This record gives sequence, structure tokens and C-alpha cells, in this order.
Amino acid sequence: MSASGIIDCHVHLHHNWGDRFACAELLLRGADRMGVELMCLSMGVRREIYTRPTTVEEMHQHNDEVAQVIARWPDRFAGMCYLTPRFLPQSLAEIERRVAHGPFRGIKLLWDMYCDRPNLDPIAARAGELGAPIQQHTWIKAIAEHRCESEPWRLAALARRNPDTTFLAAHTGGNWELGIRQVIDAPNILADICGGDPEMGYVEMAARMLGTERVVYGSDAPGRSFASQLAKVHGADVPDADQQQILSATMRRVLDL
Amino acid sequence: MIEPGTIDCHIHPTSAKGGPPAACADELLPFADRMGIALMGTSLGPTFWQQPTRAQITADNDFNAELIARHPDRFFGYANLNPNDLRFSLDEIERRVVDGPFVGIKLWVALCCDHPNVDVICERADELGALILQHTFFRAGGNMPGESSPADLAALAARHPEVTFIGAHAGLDWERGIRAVAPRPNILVDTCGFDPELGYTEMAVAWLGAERVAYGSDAAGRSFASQLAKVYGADLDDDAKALILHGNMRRVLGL
Repeated sequence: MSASGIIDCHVHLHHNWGDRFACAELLLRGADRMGVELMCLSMGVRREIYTRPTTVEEMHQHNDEVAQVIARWPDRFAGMCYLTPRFLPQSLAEIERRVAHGPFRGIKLLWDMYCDRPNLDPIAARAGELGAPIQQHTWIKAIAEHRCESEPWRLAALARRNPDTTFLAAHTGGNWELGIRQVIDAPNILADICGGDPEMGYVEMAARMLGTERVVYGSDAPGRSFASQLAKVHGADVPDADQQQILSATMRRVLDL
Repeated sequence: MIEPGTIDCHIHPTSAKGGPPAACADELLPFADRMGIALMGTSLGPTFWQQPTRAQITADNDFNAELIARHPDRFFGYANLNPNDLRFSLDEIERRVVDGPFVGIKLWVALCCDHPNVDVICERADELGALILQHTFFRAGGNMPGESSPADLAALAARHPEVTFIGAHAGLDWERGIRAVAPRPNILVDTCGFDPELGYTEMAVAWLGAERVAYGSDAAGRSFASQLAKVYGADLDDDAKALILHGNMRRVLGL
């Protein structure tokens, strides 16, 4: 990829858009339109993640689908290995299989277990050894949270116990005015700005409170468009050099590109 | 990805929190520059008045006139009117459009555009070749008193086929609004003033044709970037996007 190409730290495959390859092609069309060169991809087109915890078999299937997409477009997608930490030995084995031996570059955690629980520590420790970032969904729900949905403060607790691991706080809690504050004291957490409407002040506040080097662009495509999420950065009142860091440079460092 | 020469058909000088036009321009222009916006159509004033008095109308139009005078290559103006005061509206058209520098008329929520007073304004706009930017909403809970819907605008546009109208926000509930204005070829819709929802621009082009869709932001109430995302992210070819981003407004403004 080019030296300044945009890296999207957060995309998925999704059942609304057909099978894994059809969805990946949709992502590529949108990415090409907006100048996104590399996408960090996690999770397959399975629906059950919204209704019940993931089984070990399903975890494997998610990662198989992502692996197939990466194999077809290795220069456009970087894999984030989805884990279900309720099954710790199997999750650690999946790290060895997918990350230690490639081609996955990081780890994706959703809402199968609160991320401040002890099961997460061996995962975080191994990720740190491998230099693999962990992308943890974080959300501060007003009502009706998903099961075991982690708020940013839980991620901050995990990050403080595992200072050598880099974490991406996906959505920065959704309620970013609270979420940014909750991760401020964990310097190994980056704020992933994906999902949600392009609200005024998000990127500016994250850059001001965390430092620009701790803010990264992500979209949550295809659930959100690349364009609407890029607008958070393009429209932000931050210098051009800071925009470039958010759009590309920091993830280049995190992914060791 | 940034399209230079973009024309934003719909902004308001609300950015400087009550500051003078110079401060407003200083605040808006760096963001416009970043997003490739060459020209902006401004209307209303730093404060929005639902039933503006003559003094408020004058102040709003004076504000935008100064903005245009300071940066004639970056702003064009729509004269703010309150059609309830028809005499003053017609006089203001003479002062602001006939004598310049305004090129169009802005109608917000003072009077629904199905009222006969608006027909008189349209007749004068027709004589002058002046563009009319009409706020349109289909509100879930019913429109405010005096607030126009796309259906109201479609009826008005049918009576004045030689006037070019911009249906601002396409009714907000754009799936209804686009349908409501579709039969009237002298109505364009703008893209401004709501979240960048999937399918808006594509549907507008499918139903109206790309030549009837114009980029607008509603800045400073919305960012240029978030509203441009509706065009940049749309599944449309480059020719259609060029029409939306500048081609149509160049045609409408005679540039």
C-alpha cells in the first residue's frame, strides 16, 4: 500500500450483504471510492452473535470466512481473529493457529465476556508477546445492553494490567464524551472512532484528551459507510498532519507495516 | 477524493455565534477550503427567526450582503423574506435581488408555500430569473405552523413552471419527499441537513435524475464533511457526482 494510504481499522462481513465474498466485494467498492487501501476485517456473515454466545465451532467458522477473504485479497484486508474468551484454551489455541502462524494481524473481542474478567489476561498477554492489537467492542448503553457488553472503563482495567498490549476501544463507548474519559489513563488504548453518526467534536475531543497518536479511523462498514465515518476526520478541527496520523500513520505503526 | 470547485447551495452564517460577518467568514472558510468548496449560498442570519420582523429581515440580509461583499468569489446570497409581509417582501426583492447582489430567495417557515402570497413572490422571481430555496419537511409529528412540505412545494412549482426551486432537505423524510416533488421538473432537491443515511442520494438520482440533485450542507448547523459524505459515498458514477457537487448549481446560477 502507499505510504499515506488510509487504513480502516474496523470492518466486518455481514449477512445483509450476501456471502463472505459478495460482502468483501461490496467493501472493496466502497473502499476504492473513498481511498481506503487496507481494512482490518473481523467476523463472518453469521447471525447468531446478536442472540447468543458464540460456540467454539462458530468462532472457527467466523475466522475461516475471514481467512478466505484475506487469501483472496491479501493486500486489502488484515485479519482480526475473533475469539470467544468463555472458552479460554480454545481461544489461546486460535491465537496460535491464526495469529502466531498468520495471516491474522490482531484479535477481535465482542460481547461474549466482560473484558475485565480474568480470562482476558492470558489472551492479552499472548497478544502482547505477538505484537497483535486487540480490538474490543466498547459501548455505554443507555438501556438494554447486549450480554456482557463492555464499557470502556472495563477495557481500561484490562489495559492497565497488560501494559505491553495495544488495545483499540471500538466506538470509544458510543457515548464518546464518557468513553474518552474512561480510557484516558490507559496509554495503551487507542480510540477507534467507528460506528455512530458523524457528530461534531468527537475527533477533536479524542485528540485533545488522548493525544492524536491515540486516535484511529475505523468505519464499522458495511454497517456504516466509509464516507460518513471519514467525515468525522475530514470535518474535524485538527491540523492536516493530525488527520493523516489518524487516517493512516498510527495504524501503520500498530500493524508494523 | 475531494472534488475541487464544489458549490454548496445551502449554508447559514451561524458559525460565529453572533459575531460579525468577517468573523463568520474566518470561521467557515478554512473548513470550506479543506473540503474543496469553492462557493456557498448563504441565507437567513446568525439567529433563526420563525416570524422575522422587517428589522430582522433587514439585518439578516445586510449580514449576508456584507459576507458577499467581503468574499464575492466565495458566497452568493438568497434574500430572506417573510411572505406574511408581502409588501415588504416585494420591496426587499427589489433592494436585494434587482439591485443585487442576491441571486435568489430563501423561504423558511414563516408561511406555508401553498399560500397565495407566495405566488406573488414567485411571479416576481420568475420575471427576475431568481432561484427560490424553500425549506421542506415532512415531520413525524406534523409540521410546524407555516412550515412547508415537499407536497406544498410541488403544488407551488406546478403553478410556476418557469421558476427554479430547491426543495431543501428533500423533506427530511426523503423517501416521501423525493416522491412528492418527482413530477415537477423545476424542483431540485438539496442534500443538506440530516445524517448521511444510506440510499438518499441514490434514490434522489433514480427518481429525479442527477440533474435535479444539488449538494448542500446546512453549515454551520451541519459540517461540510458529513453532508459531502452523502455524495462521496453514494453508489453513483463520477458524472452524476460532478453534476450534484457543482454542475447543476453552475447551470442554475448561470456560471
